[in-house]
Amino acid sequence: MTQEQPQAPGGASPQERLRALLHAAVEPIQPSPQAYELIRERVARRARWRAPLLAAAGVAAVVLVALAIVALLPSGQATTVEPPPVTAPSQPSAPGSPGQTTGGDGPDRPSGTATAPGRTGTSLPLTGSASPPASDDPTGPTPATPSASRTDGHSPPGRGADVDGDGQNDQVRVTGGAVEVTFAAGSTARAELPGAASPSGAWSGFDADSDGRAELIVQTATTSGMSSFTLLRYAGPGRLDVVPDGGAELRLQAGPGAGFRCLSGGGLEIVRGVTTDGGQNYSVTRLAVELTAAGLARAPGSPSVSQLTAAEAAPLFLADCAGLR
Amino acid sequence: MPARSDAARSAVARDADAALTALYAEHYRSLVRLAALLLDDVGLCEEVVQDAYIRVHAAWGRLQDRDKALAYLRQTVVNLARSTLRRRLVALKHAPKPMPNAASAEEGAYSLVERAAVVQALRELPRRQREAVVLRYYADMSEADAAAVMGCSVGSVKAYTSRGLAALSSKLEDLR
Repeated sequence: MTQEQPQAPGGASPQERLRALLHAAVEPIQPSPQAYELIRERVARRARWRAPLLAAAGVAAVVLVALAIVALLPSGQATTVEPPPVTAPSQPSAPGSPGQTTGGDGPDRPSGTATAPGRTGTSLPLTGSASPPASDDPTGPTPATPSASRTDGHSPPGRGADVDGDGQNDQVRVTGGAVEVTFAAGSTARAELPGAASPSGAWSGFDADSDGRAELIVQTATTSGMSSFTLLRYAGPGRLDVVPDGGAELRLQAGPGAGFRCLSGGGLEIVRGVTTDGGQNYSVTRLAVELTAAGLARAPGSPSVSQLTAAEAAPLFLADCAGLR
Repeated sequence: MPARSDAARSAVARDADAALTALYAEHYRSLVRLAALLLDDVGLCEEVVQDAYIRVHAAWGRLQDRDKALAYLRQTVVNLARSTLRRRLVALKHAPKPMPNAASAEEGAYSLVERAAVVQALRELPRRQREAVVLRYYADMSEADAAAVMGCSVGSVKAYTSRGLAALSSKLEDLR
């Protein structure tokens, strides 16, 4: 069955003889006469399909990228709808912060006790320094603080703020040293409050960084008339993070010689007052603060300093944020 | 990478068409024969070579050195032949056994090639030895060029060629 091989010239090397054998073996093969037309036809067919395929692949890539972006973003980020302020009927909304409130703790407090003495014109015998007094003086009029808030460490369920920015109020509950948020979508998030075994339960929702989501300002403790607050913010599905303390200068406190207020355009203003004449007059410093990814930070610009009488300064030594006072 | 203008694309397409025609006229026949020596089924050699031409045409705009188009074409033929062999091996594993009275292979040029002793001996060589022998002694490529096409070192080509030649010599009286 083996084809007779042509003989290589005698005396040639094995390599030369192999070369001759290989050439002779494939010599009968003649290409198809239509080969060139076949190649041309396949090239043309490939070119016809290439443009639509590339276009389709491009569209598919764009769609995939868009889907990936949508999937990676926290739900509802594109929504910037702020829910209407939630205030108790007996609790007037905070002046100077319209449209920024997304919740409040009005219902937490007994009606009528949330109004600061300073707001009613009562003069304040403030102590002589920004530091809190050595002891609480229940008889003396102190600057308005969230002292009227619940002290049982629990806030009732049912009040909300749009924590995740999806346009719907989420249920916020401060309980047992932690904040729990039940989102409208059904998921929950919990964050432990730092250094607050028994928070008062007073809290407020406020969009501090104008991202469409309400940050939570929670009162954590009151010591010697000075109330401390912790800021929490939504950090993605199921996550609620405590915003790092920005240091003593940026600490959210309200009491003798200290206060803060939420600004209508976002951000906060921290107020510190120092008296050198026994509380008759105060040198009040107002520092604008913004909420950044790293936490609270000083906003650009210099703090403003003004000399105020005790009566003028008292309304500033409050936690004036979305009905938190 | 800057977008290529329509005029530039048209120029590349015209260039590729002209190159395709020239490469076909000059090398198609020898490449089909080269593929016939590399494949187990001679009937597939034209298909493999046509695929190689189409790929070179499609990649013409990306070829950095167009003087090496023939080398690229040869390399594509070798690569496609390898792929075809792999596919055929898988297919053969799952193919039903032929009937005892199955028709013989088609007559004509291909069957002549199939029956050549040297072709049958080549098919018994390991793939790389077969490639080295064919590239060196049929395509008359240097060891360096064969190494480039096979994707191995020159030393490996030397070893494959030497072993392949020895194996063929033991099978073919003409080489002794």
